[in-house]
Amino acid sequence: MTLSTLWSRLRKKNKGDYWQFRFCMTFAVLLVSSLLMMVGSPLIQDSLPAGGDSGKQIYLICGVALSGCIIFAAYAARLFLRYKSREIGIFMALGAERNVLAKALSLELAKIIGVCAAVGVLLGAVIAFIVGKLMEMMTASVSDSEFAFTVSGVLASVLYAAVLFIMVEILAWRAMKRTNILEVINEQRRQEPMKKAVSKSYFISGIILTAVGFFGAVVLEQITVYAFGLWLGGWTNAFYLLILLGVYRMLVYAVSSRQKGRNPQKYYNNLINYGMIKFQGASVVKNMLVITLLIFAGLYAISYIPANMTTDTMLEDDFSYRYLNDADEPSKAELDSLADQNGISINDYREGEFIRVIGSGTDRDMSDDNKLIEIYYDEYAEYDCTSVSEFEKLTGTKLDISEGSYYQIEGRNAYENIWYKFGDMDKLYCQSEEQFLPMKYLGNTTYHSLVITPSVGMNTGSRFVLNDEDFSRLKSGLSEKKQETQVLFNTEGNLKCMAAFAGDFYELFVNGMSEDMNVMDYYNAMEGERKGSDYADLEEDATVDAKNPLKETDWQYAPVMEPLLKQQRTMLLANRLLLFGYVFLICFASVGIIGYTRSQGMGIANAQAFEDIKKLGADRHYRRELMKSQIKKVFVLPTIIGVVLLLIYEAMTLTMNDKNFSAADRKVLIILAGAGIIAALYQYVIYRASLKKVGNFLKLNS
Amino acid sequence: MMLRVEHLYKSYQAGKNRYEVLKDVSFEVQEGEFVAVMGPSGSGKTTLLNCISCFIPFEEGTVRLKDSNLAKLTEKQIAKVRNNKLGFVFQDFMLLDGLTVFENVCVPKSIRKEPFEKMEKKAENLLHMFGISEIADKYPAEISGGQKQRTAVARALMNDPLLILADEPTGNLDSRSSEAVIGAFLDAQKKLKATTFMVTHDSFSASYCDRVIVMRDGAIYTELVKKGNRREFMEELLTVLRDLNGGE
Repeated sequence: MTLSTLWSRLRKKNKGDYWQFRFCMTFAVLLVSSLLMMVGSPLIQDSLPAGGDSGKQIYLICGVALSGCIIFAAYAARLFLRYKSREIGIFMALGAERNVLAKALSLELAKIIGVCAAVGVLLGAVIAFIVGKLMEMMTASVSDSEFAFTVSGVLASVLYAAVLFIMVEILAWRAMKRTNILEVINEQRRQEPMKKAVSKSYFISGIILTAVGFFGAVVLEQITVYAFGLWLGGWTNAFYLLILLGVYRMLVYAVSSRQKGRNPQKYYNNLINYGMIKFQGASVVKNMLVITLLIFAGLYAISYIPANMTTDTMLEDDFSYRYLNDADEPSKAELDSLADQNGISINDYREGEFIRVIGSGTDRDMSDDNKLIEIYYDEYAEYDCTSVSEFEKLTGTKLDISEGSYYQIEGRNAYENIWYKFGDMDKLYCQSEEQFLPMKYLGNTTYHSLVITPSVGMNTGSRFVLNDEDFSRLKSGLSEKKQETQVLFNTEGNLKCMAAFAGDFYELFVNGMSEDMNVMDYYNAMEGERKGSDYADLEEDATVDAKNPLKETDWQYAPVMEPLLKQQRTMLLANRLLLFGYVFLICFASVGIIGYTRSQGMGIANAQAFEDIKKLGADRHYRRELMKSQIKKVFVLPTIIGVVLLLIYEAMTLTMNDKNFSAADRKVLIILAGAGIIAALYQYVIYRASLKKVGNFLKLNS
Repeated sequence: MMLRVEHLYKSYQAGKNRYEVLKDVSFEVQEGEFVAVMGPSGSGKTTLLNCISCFIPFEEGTVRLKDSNLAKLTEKQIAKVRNNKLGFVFQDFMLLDGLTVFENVCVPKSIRKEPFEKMEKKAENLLHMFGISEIADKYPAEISGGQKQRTAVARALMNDPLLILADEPTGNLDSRSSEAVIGAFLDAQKKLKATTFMVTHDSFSASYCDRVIVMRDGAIYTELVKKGNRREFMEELLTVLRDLNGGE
């Protein structure tokens, strides 16, 4: 009988352990490869602007998912190696050479992971295909992009499987490196005691560190910027480490604290429980910390979904666009004909006059020593201005504006921040009179469809409503390219036809733009004059694709098309729902597997102690309660801390964004709290499964 | 009478073969008595102890602890008996590594969820009695084998058991530590009127007992009662054991 025969007999005997390991490895490869194949497909890639934030978010989230899967695969591998350790130790004790055993183990692992990787990539491809086709159907009305497997997606999946393989082989090599045979044999019962006994002040310090961490990471810079005009820089991210340290301290306290305190009876009643957990303390705390972080990451991933769902554009018109009068843009008649061709009709068509006028403003920037610099310029930017009459014609809103004053056009939820303030402009240059006309800010008037989207109607993207007389004086002598036409209209018809119309219109509009319209979002001619060659970056042409209105643009004159925006949002939401939902799934799969394997580890390590207390008269009920309380530690506290941390973090960021905790913010938090409850229910299910498994092992199930 | 074992039979099945480990074993242990069981390996000493403790079932016979027939009890009742009426001392101590000496001694009462004031007082008294008060706050890993076993004896006495069952309590100890542990049993007998039933290989330890039951091949070979001093009793024991081994 050879070693490999013995090895294979043992494999048959320990089928359960092998299947558990195979499942974890296959599952890890399956989740990640399906995610990578989806992200790599043209369906997702076409919707991501190069260098855009959404792209970065998705890659960041993919990184989290990959790490989550690596972590749970590592746990599963460690547990498997612990099972194997006893067999290996006995072989070693009987004289088998370490090298021979190491090779046999390595070969066995290679075979297992090879099969798991192949099955995982294959199943991942099937899942990616199904999900990709679903997404394709959801966005078919506005997008021609199709799901397809790409070389990069498949290669990344294979690469990931290879990383898992290397990781498991390294873990096996480390396990085989030990020389103490008894240590190898008793690996299953290895104890990892906490080195310290901690008091309540340790716990309180954990809470304080967490609070300070949150304050430093989320709030501190906002305070220094707004109160002192001072940026603290990227080092404030180091405060997140304090949160980590704080949570670690809280968990250590929860595991190792066992002071009599005010309730000595409780202390003595739980004496055995404390004693058992303490000797597994170090690894329990590590597991709890990882579970807490994964729960936080999983919920953080889906926090984008409610934030997107609750964003309401509040646009008053389906179509809103502006063009300089020297451009060759479609007339009302051309639009009507285009609408006819697409089977829709145009309603409420309105045109209004705007002019481009140089005005004053304040440039705000951060100095090299991170301080706020404010410089006022007489000729700060070219602003869009209209008259009271034109504004009324466009919007139906009648404003009372006296000479020398103005309203700023804004959205309902517009807010000032450190860079942009309302009413910065206090004079406009009248070309015909060659003088500045002083202007007084009266307040904001709301009309979302007239707000220049990327600038949210602030700073160089500000649009003003002036008194009719002032408007006439300022308009006098302006060339066509300093005069603008603003168009607003609604459409009627089915969504698909509207989307087709929007596509045709967009192509016409892009092709008809004048030279001065071909500028990027934040281009400011005045700033260009001030900065000269330093301004080259923003003097490039606009980024716009006439054939694909769904692609994100960097174009100051991009039309706002509500039917297309809805589709874009739906598509974006569908993409994110799937991607972030996927990451949520991966994080929670990791949480489940870590919790489940940790529980088993606890059962194995404490098996002797359970046997001992049985001999001391602890009945089955007592031992079962003890087992429950041991396993609970791994599930309850990390879930509570993970969910609470996420809610605190989200509440703080949502509040700090606009210095206001709005009804929409509340809604986001309620949705996230709901997700937290679902996470808790999931944890409960895993807890029950763990109880069953460990109960069977310890023979404590009735 | 504290313990009465009558016509006890126990066998193991290994494939088609059946091995009888205990064959018609009967004896009694009186209240306050310190009794040892000796015999060569495989004579059934530990099986006997395990049957008395109800750790393993037996086919025939009765084990009576005072008035209760242990074989008739349910699992829950047996657990109660182990906790309330029996005290255990094992060769490998079986202390919980995560608890201090003081806390380990408290474990039997902790399982019963007894009021802590009484628990603490009792534990303090026992630690004092066995000279281990100074190490009360130490963990098992920080103390010697003898100290561990004295902690185990203190733990065994925590619930004032009717009977202490000790399985090779000195098996893992050097002679000095063994003496200290036997001293602990004697103290328990003298001061607390404890009844002890001890399985041992060590004739030195057994020589401190009031009576020694010698087993061979699953049956009682002979019983020796101490009449003279300890040295004489030890000589007597050694003679019997030599006879048992064919005069070697």
